[in-house]
Amino acid sequence: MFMAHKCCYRERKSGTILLELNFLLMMIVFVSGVCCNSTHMIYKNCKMILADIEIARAFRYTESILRRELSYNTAQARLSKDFNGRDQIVCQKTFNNVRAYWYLSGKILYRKTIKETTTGINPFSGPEIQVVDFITVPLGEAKLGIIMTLKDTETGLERRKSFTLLLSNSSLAS
Amino acid sequence: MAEELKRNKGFILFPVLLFLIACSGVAMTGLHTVAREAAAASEFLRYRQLETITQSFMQTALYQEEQTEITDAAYQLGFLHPGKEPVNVTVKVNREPSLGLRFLQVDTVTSHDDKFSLRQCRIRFSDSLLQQFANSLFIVPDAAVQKEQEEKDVSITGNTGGAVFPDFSMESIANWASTDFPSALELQSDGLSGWIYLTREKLSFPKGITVHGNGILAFTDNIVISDDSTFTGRIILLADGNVRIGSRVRLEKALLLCRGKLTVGTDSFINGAVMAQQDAVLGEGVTFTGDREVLEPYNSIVSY
Repeated sequence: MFMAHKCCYRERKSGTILLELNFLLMMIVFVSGVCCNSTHMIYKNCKMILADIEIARAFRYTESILRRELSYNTAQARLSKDFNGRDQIVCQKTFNNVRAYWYLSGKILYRKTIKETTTGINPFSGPEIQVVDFITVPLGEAKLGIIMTLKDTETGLERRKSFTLLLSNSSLAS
Repeated sequence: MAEELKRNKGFILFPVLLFLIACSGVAMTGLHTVAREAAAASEFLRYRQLETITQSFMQTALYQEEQTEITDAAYQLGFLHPGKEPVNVTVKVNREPSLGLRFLQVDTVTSHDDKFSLRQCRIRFSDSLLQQFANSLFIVPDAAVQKEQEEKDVSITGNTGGAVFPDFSMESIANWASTDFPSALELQSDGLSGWIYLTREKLSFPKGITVHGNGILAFTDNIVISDDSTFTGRIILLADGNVRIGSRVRLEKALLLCRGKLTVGTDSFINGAVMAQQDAVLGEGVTFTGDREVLEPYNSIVSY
């Protein structure tokens, strides 16, 4: 009887250990599941947050250049449409032999500068952040509104940004 | 067995701990990036506010000037957002009455010394100067007598006409205007943008340079405009020293106010008005045509 009890005790003891191991295994599965899920969530959100940050940076860069060029270095600005019916800005710069065109092509914002017989084209947005929309809105004789939609190519995140420019050295020609 | 279990437990907990540390590291990096981005966005926003305030004050000052004479002023505005930094705006007006030059500067400064400035200058020539140019557009005040140089088609008015060279101080102009004079290459490729350009050094424009655009060119020392150079725009040339213009130079719309001696080389062309205090020596074939448009008021661009 005693022997049987001892044996039974031994069996129960080993069963207890197995139970604990089982419990630990379940815990590990649970924790790794939670971890995997949270990692996925963090990774996914992180990408969106990073895309948002990249869009904000690209917008600040493009806005700063447009602001400097149009607010101070332009003697006359004219709003027109390009061959595809998209908005463009045609500027006569304060350096009076220089003309500049701001336009959208292939989801990249370009500035074409014409100086006598020389023409130069510079992109003012990168390939990672596309400029989907570039809309100009006349807000007064010397005030211009610009609306841009920027898109992160990796995540597909789109943000619409707008700003107004006070043209210090020019007026908007019709 | 129990010892093994303890070891096993520790073995399992260690990777979990490592994973949590890695997770918190990633989270911290992410938070740091977001915080840095937020700070950059705030700074950008504050700077834009400074710029907009400065532009508004500049436009208001220029508009008010149409009705009344503007003077120095200081304003304390509210706060910038975000950050609640107080903003001070100062409007500084400097004048050179003998020339009719007014230099306007608007500074917007925060309590953290972030600053945005805009400048503009205007010349509305004084009545005394305009009266002097009423009879002749080529004046040499210190010349002993009035002389006609028929063969050069230039009428020079001397001291007998009562001409007096305007008593402007180039040093005071230098204190307001920036002294970063563009290089010859920049002048050739970009031209003048309508601003006031000043240099304290002796300057010699290279041969054959063509400069487009309008501007005020101020020199505290002697200058040389070399042969075959062309200035196509409206220029107001103020010189404290001598001005030597080479041969075949074309100044298509220029007002020259030279405190020293003016020398013009052969076959040069000047359209506008000239006043040289000490003397003017014109070479063979020089053509001077008077143009009163150069005496019209001149407004520079608003520059940052």
